[in-house]
Amino acid sequence: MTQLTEGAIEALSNGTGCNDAVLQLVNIRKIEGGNGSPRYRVMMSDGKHTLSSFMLSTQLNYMAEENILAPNCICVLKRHVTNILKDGRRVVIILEIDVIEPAGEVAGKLGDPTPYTEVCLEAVLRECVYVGLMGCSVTASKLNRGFTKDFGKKAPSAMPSTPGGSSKVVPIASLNPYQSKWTIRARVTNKSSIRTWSNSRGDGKLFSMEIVDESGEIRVTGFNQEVDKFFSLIEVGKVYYVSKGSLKIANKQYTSVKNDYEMTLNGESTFIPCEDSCDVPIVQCDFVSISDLENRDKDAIVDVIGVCKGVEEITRLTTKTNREVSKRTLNLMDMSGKVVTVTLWGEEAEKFDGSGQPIVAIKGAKLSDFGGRSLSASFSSTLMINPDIPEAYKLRGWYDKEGHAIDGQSLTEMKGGSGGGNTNWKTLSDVKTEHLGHGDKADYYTCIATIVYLRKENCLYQACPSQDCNKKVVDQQNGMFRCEKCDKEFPNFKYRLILSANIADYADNQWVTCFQESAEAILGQNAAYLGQLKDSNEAAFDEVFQQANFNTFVFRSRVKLETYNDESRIKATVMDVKPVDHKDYSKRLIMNIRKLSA
Amino acid sequence: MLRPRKLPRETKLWNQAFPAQCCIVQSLVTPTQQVVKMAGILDVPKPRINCSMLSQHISRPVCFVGRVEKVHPTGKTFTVADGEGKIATVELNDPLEEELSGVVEVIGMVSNKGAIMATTYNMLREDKGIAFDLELYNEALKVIQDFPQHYPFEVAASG
Repeated sequence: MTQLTEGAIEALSNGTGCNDAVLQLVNIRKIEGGNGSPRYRVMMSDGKHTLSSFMLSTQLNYMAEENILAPNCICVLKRHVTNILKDGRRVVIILEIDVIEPAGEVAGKLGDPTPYTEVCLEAVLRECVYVGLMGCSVTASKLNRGFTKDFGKKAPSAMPSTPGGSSKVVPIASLNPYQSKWTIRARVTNKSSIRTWSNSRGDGKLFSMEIVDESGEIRVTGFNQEVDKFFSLIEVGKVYYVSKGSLKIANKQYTSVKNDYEMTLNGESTFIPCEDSCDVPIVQCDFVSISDLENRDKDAIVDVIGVCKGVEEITRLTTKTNREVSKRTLNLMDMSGKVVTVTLWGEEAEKFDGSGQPIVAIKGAKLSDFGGRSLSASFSSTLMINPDIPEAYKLRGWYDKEGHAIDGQSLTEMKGGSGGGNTNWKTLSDVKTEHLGHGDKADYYTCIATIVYLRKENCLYQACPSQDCNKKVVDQQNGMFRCEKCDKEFPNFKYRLILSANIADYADNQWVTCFQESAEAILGQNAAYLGQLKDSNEAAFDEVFQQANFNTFVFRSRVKLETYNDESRIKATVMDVKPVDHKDYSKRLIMNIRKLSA
Repeated sequence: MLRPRKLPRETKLWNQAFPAQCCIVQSLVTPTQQVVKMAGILDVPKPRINCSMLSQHISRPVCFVGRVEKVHPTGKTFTVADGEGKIATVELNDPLEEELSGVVEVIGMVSNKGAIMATTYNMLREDKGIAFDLELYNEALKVIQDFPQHYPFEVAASG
């Protein structure tokens, strides 16, 4: 009976090495490889201990397949390599093994071995197989040339490559699409939920996340199969070794992450948890002070941090696609003393708890000019409550000392004036310089201007007397008036106004058209009375126009480029006329002056 | 609003025609000297100031807008608070003939002691129109002070 080399398992496991150890094969198992070829995991015994962390190198796969290596056979381990995994465990790769006694000739297990290491390396080893090509440059160099020759160009690894332990970690900032052999170590700062879509090309699902390391951050997206593979595996806040993702130029429309590239996960990508995470920063944020938000353009993506001063109740609305969505607004104040309203959607809205004035940090919030300035947490924003970052502590300290007493000046109501609407203030020269109305859609803007001319000729027309029909009626000359739209004749009509006026401010002037309501507001008389006056008292009619001239109003106008017989002209229509709110106007002017001078 | 300057003879006729008019200007206009003083100050550019600018305008005509704080029992002096809350004293030549409250606009010279020797004043009625926002006015004053190149009132008035 062949003697097994007792203590060999111990030696191999400890790395002290053992030459030509005689071992009994206890068990052999096939593991599916990531790139197609199977690997065999072997459990060997030296009579005293068993160790299951043996891997058969691929060129010896035939031995397993032809049953040369079968449970109970006695073998001599002629050549091996021991790989150390990141967490200290060892895997012995069998490079050359001779069977001295085939399984059939051996009665059973020799000795009474106990498992040396009770660690299940299955998952790790499987991942090593997944990893495949990665990180084996260092270990491959240890390999004998002979082995590398045997392998196809596809899989030069003779052993499971250690997941990042022996490969160099590169900084995220150095990633580019032209280099594919890299490993990065990063923390997941934001993971989106799974989103499905269904379009003409089919259905799909995706999820995305942002990962950060000391050098920078990058956005990672996984589609379809990768969603299944990685979604549940990845946790926000944990550090992973990532490799074999494909890089492409970032689509800035979908992300605010500061990186020219973004990563897509594919079949070969790997995400391996990393224990050593202390160096990797928790989150990279470039916070903007709330008072600064006024100076940013609308639709900018910003990061903010502040104290949640108050939160509204959750409301539910139905979107155009008939989806029900929850929404909640909260007020955020920071050390500048300014307050801004933030809107949360969906699950975040429902989960949010604003009690106790938490410090709220939002990364990737979208700035809009709704009601002046307000923020919206879109699906790609990350919301952090009481985050563990120095800015949060500074805010908390400031708030407890002074902040709680300050009422805060809200950016979200200030500019609106009437509160709520988007007041897009422009001067009349802006309309020309910014080419408002030249796009496909009409542009709306608000301005303060003075009426300098009113055209009193053709300002009135005879309209259909039926409710809601303002179509011009045709005078049948027999006392009847016909409306084409209603297809009826009427003995009467109602006067309606279409007032052509020239309004001006310090910068420029503009011809606008005012319909009934706005015209009546400007002239201070209703259309019917004016119609009467026109027919009866010419002087009084003129007087109305004289009085209306040189009055200043707040005009809310709609402007659009219209083509009329090969000629394109800007047509401006007044939607609403309001008297000037001097206080609001002064405040706005002062604010603009200060902004310009800063 | 201030009355436009009138010659003494005109003023006497005016007084005769409209004896019921009790405007403070009337009481100041009668002595000839006052007329000259009054005329002088109305022609000259009067920068708008608040309390912090008083010291820079000593012996100069100014226009001060503030809220009436306390009126002295004699009626010859009263205190006003500006948009920043600081107090200034206004001294009149003749005692007040009416109840003074709310926001007033005082035109006069700044004395060495930092008080305003009023030539005329104008009460901004609170019951009419929109309430005067003193804080906003103060902001405007600051803007004018910060950008004198854009607010050449001196040139405009004398030109």
